[in-house]
Amino acid sequence: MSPSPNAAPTSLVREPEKPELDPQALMAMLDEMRALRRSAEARHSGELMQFVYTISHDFREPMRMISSYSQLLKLHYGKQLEGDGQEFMGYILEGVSRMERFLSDLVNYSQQLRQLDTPLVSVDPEGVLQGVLLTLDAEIQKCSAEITHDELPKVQFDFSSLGQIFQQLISNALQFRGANPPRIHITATQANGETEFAFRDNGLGIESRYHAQIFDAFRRLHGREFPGSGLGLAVCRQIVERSGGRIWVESEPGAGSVFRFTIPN
Amino acid sequence: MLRILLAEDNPGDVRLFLEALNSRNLQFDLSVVEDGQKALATIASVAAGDPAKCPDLIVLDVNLPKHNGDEVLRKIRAEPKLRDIPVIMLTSSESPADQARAIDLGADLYIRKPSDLQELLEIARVIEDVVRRSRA
Repeated sequence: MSPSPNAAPTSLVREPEKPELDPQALMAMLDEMRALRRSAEARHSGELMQFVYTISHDFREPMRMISSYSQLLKLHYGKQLEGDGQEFMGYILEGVSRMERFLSDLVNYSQQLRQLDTPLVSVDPEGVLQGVLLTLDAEIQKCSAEITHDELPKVQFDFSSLGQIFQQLISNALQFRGANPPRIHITATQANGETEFAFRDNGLGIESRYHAQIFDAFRRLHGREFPGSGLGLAVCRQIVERSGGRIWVESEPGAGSVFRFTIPN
Repeated sequence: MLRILLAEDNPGDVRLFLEALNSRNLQFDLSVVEDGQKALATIASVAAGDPAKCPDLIVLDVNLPKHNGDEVLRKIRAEPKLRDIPVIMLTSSESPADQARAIDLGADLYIRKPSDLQELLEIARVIEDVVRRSRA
């Protein structure tokens, strides 16, 4: 019988045998890759943390000297320093104060790079909020801010980490306020196996081209006008993403902002 | 007259300590040693000598050259004549583990070195407190 014209020609080269794809073996491989990646990440973030800790520790001592002695100079010799002298002193003290804040933010940021080992517990966001409002009380009073919230359901998280996020978002809303006293409203919705928090404010708003980069470390939008180290939102993102959530902003200049973040249930 | 022994190697920190004491208008006699070896030698000579010359307060930097603050603290607590003297440890770190260890070794207090005037004045107040309590 002659071969049909459409039959494929018999191959003269033997193709190598493809191995059987065993789903179990594949899963085991994937698990191993994940474990390797996790341990590499842990090593990397551990080294980074150590580096940051060493730097901030070594900076702390000379900074203590500058800070303490410039204040002592002002205390004992302030009256003799007229005009220019007082001004120079002011710049020194302000510079030191900024360095200290930056170092403390940096240490905080590096700590967030660490894998979270602490077990999750049931956290009441309303309790967290009360604590944060107490901490920020002076600033809240100063700008006559009004902070309100809907019912906030309990979440599986870490109390102090949630406090950090709340404090950073509220503090930003107070700082980047517009002409009117800040109005901040906090809500939470539960859907798709997660809780989504929303912090809505009536502040300056943010151009959409900056919506992603504000969560990057060391990116600041406003220069010297508004003090800050540019680490606050980056820390929030670390905390949220480390536990499997997301954080983002919806905002337009002049129309306030809504910062949202999710926590898996 | 408050007799104080300070073991501290950084002259800047020695002076800050002096400023803290001066801010409280205390009558004091401050002896300073700049490393752990000198601290141990001073302690040995105090233990062997006149009890009237015993310090009323010992302040130790945790990170001393030659023998660190912990070792000096152990030596102090091993001497019967010095066992009841209040000891304050000074540190630049914030580690709670270090603090716990110092308290375990017999320190009365563990305080961070001052970063500014306010903390300095607070340290002065704390020193006064510790001494008053130990005399009660």
